[in-house]
Amino acid sequence: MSVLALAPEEFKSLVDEVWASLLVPVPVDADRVNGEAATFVAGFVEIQGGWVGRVSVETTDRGAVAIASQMLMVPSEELTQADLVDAVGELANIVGGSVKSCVEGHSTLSLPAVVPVDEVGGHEAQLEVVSQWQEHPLRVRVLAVA
Amino acid sequence: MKVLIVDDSRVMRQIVTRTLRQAGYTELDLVEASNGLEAYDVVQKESPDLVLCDWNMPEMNGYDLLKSLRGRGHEVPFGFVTSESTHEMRDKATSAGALFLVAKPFTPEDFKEALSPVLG
Repeated sequence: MSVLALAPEEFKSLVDEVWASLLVPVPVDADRVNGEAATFVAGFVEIQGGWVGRVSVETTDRGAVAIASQMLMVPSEELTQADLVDAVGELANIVGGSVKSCVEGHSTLSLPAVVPVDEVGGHEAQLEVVSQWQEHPLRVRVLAVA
Repeated sequence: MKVLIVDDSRVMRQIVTRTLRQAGYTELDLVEASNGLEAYDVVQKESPDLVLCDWNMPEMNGYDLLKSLRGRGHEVPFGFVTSESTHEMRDKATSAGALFLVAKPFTPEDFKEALSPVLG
């Protein structure tokens, strides 16, 4: 049976590497997710193998706009909904690919999907990194299927 | 020289383009495709000098694209730029004829190291 061989500090290092390569300024660590009143979206990928779970990248709607604007280098007013889905989904894909490499044995990675954050639920959070980018909250979770 | 960038994410195609420039490749003629099927046609029409291709894509993934090209005698230099980089995938990529596999997230230095044998 396959397992996910990824310690919390390794997961944080992996997430920090993704942030450092894609977001300027680099997100800072946060104790909790700020912006409770805002609407949150989640990009996630699913890993299927001996270990089954999801890797989810979550932020607010406004955070998704800011991320897409920076990744595409396009002013926020010129972004489409497809651009927001693409940007948040690609972040999940990149983090998910790194997590998948820590699953022992053969496994597969799904294409990314983007949904309201409540729809990622039904899973147990195994690992979590919470950050703040500019004024936007960022949360990355590894969710084992219960 | 002409480089074909294949990725279903417009964001990632943009980041690959930017990273090529940061790696010093400022004079390239860049063409794009959003999946393997589309890329197969672009290879026929544009005869790129290098294909930089994602692995996991809808319609046709990058691995199947590479096998299709090699199966029909196309020897265009081909490298993967993908979020997955297990030993299993690297072995599959090499066996199918890929020159390299660059894992996301990547740096300009990663690109320079992987691409310099082809692009100089």
